[in-house]
Amino acid sequence: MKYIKLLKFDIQNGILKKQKVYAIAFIIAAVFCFDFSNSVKIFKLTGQNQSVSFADCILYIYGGMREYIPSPTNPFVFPVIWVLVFLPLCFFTLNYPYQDMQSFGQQVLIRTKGRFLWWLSKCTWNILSSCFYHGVIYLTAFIFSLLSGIGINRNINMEMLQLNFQIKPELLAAGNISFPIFAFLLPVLLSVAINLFQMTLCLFIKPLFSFLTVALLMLSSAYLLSPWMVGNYAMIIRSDLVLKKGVNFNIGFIIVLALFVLSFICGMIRFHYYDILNRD
Amino acid sequence: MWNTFKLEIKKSVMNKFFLIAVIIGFGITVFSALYNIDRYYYDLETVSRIERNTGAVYNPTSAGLTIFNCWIGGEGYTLGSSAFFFIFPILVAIPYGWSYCEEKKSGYVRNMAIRSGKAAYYGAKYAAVFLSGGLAMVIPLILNLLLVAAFVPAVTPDPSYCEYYGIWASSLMSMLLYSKPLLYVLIYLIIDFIFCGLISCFSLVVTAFVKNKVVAVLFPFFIMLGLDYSQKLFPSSTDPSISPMKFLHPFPLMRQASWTVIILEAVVFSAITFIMTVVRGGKNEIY
Repeated sequence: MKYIKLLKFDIQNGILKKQKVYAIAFIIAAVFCFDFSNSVKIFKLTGQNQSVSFADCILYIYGGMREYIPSPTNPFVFPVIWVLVFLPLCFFTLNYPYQDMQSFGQQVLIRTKGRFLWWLSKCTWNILSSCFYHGVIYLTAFIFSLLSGIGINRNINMEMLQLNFQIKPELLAAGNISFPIFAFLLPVLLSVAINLFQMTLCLFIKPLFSFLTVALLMLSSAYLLSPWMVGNYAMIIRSDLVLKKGVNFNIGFIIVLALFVLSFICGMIRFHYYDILNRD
Repeated sequence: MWNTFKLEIKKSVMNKFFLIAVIIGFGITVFSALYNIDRYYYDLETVSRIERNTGAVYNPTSAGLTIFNCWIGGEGYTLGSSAFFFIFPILVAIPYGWSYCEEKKSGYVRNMAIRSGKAAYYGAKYAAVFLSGGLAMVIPLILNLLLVAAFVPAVTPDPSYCEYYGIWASSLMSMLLYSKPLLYVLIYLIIDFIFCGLISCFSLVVTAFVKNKVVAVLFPFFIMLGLDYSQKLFPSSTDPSISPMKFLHPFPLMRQASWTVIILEAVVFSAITFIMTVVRGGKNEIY
């Protein structure tokens, strides 16, 4: 019962009162969808008649970048669309738990007579916030696809993908494929895990440095195609379903789950001994 | 008024956050330096091994790898370089971007406004944030340059090795790199200093609307990301780079930098930050 009350409070204050966050998610998604429609026009101009789908639109937003091969003549350019999808959410979820802990949350902690429920409620809030944020992006892409007559299916157009991400055909794993649903969901799950990791990190270092760590982790993931760089699982085109040398999303699911569980447990233990008073 | 300036500037560079920002910045640039120093010695070793094995005298390509393409600003492909030029908008706001937010909350602004006047206080605050932001950017760059200079010679680059430098005839100040490379580096450091000073002042701008320190410090980063994305409005590869995250890198990343864009953006950034901080702040009701 206490947990439900806490969660209700968090949903009210951390999600419902922050409509601006979801308005920003909608604007970001709408801009990227508009951008995608331009790339579809260019695709059609190249003489391609194959149809594009909702999956291509999602791939455009969550695709990330192709494998980067470091070389003095090939400077690294970070995938700005992908960064603009994931980092704003890290920013939006950065402050609420920390602020709550220093204000009203202190009263709540006293009244609930324990810290576990507070932490569990904040973790649930974090999961819900991430899901809502990505839900808004997916919904915007879905509505955009409906309005612009793009097919609602999971078929990936590999020619379109080559054009958007400048991937050589010999690096691709297969021809046009129907993407499994979990491949679309893994970036969302990773985002949940990363946000939880960031929230846990806030208990050890200041929120600002926690954000900095996450930003560096995401950039390093874009730089290195490796199963150990978790950000790779948030880039759909780095999946082995798309790239021959891509990362396995099944393993990714396990790693993301491990990151989630570890963050939750570490945060819970740390929060148990955390001094909530006299923090700026 | 002079005392207020001195006080604010002292506070901006003599605080732990300034030190932390410089240490983080330098820590990241060390990755780039270690890789490039190693690459330089590997190249020397390769040439001498070929000479030993074949007895032939090979071109040592002494102008191929120099400090000017081994320091962090001379290359754009190591993780250190990529990370530094990605997170610099955060690093430059860390030292003092949060200060106005903190002082507004604690009531310090009111005391200062009574003692020194609002214009002097906001002017001093602007100058201090500008200075700390600029220094937080250039100190790690200079330290990296010095570190690399301890191992790699400062041979004047030869235009016939331009593919090693990524600076072509159409690149910004290409003449200068191949004739007076130190001046080229110095001018870029000045550009970086000015821009990072202005970028950190965006933290002051946002403080007018939000009360949160973290938001104030991270705001410039998202402005820069937005500007980087808006490069899509100029899709042609011949269009100059409009993103400070790209053109503040002395090594051109995809697009070439242009003086017109640099000056125009500097003027726009100055106008926005100055008007929103000093002019608006001077008229603002602080009680």
